[in-house]
Amino acid sequence: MGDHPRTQLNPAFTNPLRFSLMATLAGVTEITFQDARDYLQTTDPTLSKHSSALEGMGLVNVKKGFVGKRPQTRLSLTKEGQAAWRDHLAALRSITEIP
Amino acid sequence: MNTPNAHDARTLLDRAEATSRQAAGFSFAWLSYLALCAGGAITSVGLAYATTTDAPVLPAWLAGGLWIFVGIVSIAAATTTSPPSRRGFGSRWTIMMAAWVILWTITSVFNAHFTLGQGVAMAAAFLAAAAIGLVWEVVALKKGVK
Repeated sequence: MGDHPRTQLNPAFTNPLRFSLMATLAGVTEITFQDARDYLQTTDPTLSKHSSALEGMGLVNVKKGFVGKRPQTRLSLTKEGQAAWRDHLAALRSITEIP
Repeated sequence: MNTPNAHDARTLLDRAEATSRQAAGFSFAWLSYLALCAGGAITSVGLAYATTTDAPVLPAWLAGGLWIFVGIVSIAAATTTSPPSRRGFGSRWTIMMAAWVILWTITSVFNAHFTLGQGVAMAAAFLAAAAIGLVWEVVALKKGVK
């Protein structure tokens, strides 16, 4: 008998905001920090904390740059982040199939 | 970590799907692409007409070039003001720009040998490229992320 699919769930995505941030980034090429904050209806410090944590795990790219003279931070998924998110969704799908 | 049951897992999957799908919007860069294709179509027909009637070719280059100029200068502004684009936009854009470059090369290099029918065919090809680019983006947006 194989492992229960819950063992395939990524503990990094159990926090609701991290889950939503990963889902957001999975749907876009990249997104500005401000757009992500507004879309997820959260605050700068909260988003900053979670995006930094995911960056530290190598799952999210955080690129700081400028548009004109205005600083702009852009978020995107790394290849590892895409794979980890796909695996997490696959584990959830497996759980839905358990009778 | 609390283990989700089947119902919780379904709810999370639905939430992930909706969040991913709604995060992206239509990129205004495709309006610039439309302008580039309009310029290509105008130039193709204009040059073919000039070739077959011995009319001057300058008006065709100017009329088409104006649209192409608008398309090129608007790309940066369109990209910065657009909502986040659907994952895969870079690939879609590169392929469609490659198609435009091929069509434009044919128009610029071979226009001296164009019949009017060939000019119209090239214009139709530019129109098809514009339509494919826009439809491809809309389909990607509707389809969401699996």
